[in-house]
Amino acid sequence: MSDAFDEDALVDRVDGDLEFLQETNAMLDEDSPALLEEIHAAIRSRDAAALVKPAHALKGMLANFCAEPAEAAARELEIMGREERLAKVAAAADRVQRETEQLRAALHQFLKAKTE
Amino acid sequence: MRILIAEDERVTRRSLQRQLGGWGHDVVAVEDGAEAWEQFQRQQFDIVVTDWDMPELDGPELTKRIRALRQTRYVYLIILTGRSEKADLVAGMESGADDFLAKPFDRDELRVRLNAGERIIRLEHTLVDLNRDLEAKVAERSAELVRSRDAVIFGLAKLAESRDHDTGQHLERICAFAGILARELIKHEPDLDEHWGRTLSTTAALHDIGKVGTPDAVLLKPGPLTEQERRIMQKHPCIGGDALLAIKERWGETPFLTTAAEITLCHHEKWDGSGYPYGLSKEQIPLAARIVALADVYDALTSKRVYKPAMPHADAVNIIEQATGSHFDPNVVAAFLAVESEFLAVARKLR
Repeated sequence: MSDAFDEDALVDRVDGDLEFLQETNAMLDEDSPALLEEIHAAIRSRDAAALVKPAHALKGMLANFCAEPAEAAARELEIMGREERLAKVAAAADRVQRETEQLRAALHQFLKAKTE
Repeated sequence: MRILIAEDERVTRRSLQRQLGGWGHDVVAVEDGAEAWEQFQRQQFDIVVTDWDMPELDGPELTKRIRALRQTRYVYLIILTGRSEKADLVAGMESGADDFLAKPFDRDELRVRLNAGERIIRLEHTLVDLNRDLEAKVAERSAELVRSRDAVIFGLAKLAESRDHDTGQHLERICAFAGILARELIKHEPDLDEHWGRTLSTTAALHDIGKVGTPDAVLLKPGPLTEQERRIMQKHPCIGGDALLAIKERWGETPFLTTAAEITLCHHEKWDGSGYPYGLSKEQIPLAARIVALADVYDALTSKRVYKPAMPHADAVNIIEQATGSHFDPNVVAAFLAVESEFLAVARKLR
């Protein structure tokens, strides 16, 4: 069991359809790096408004995987952007990056174990 | 149900699509509000589930546009959002949304909220169907009533006419002639419409109903009338008109009764003021009566009577043309000249 996501809740959420989970997992693999890159770029240019959009989108995406730690990190980042609190934003972005990568790895491991 | 999903984030969009499709709905999923707006204008949807934050066109704006269309069929709108502030909820509902669904959507919550929407849509569809049935029934009943009314009127007119010389299908012809002239005049007069034309054509049958009050000795006299007999004969417009006005007073004014009274009272008036009973001239004479006056004269000229043979159509046309501006309204004569061949066809068909 991984801490990155709630396995039981996720399996229940997709009605046990692991094929569908593989499909959305592939979307996460494809789309999350670009969103993270957008987040880092916004932070580099100290643009709070530009940070909100990718943080919001990533949060929405992560929420589909019952991945509370990653989702919470993205939410925190989005709020920092909305409230224009950029002091600790780099650390928060790193946390989102780390949690997202951990989630992806955990999902891959989970799906591998389930489908083998 | 046909459901349109607008959600820019791919995983959520795909998850919604799968879930709703799995419940048997017919789903179209698009990735932004602008595309959703395009799809919506092209196809009919029962339910729209839209994300709030989308590039180009956001959820509340999409909702406003859909509501501004004022479609007759109701569309149930659910805004999907990660926002939970009261101000957001108020703004979303004020844009025209029916419901909110928090992201990430919970499957059971989605199901029950959608059920609520379905109930409304089904109720609305049932109402639309009921309304349509009701409208069809009303139209059917109205048509029945109009048919009955027209039958009674024609029957009464026919009954009144039965005392007169054998005039064949005189009433049928007058109605047809009035209808033909009305159709021609409608083309040039924006104030006249088909409904007016139909009323005119039906009520034209009543033009001589006052003859029920004319004594047999005068009505059926084979030879020329004396001055006194002519005065008695010339009372028939007033007898008929008074009867119709009395009906109007008793039952209230309708375009039907008004037209009938105008025709009955004034179909012997002449354009130059030399007619009877009042010696009205030009536009003082109601248009309906000016039309029936021409139809009646044409019919009298081209019909055979015990005391005279039928006049050929061309001669009758000639006489009417010569009476332009004296007996007849020049506009009505112009209409007659445009459709005189139709008069001939009716005269041949309804002898």
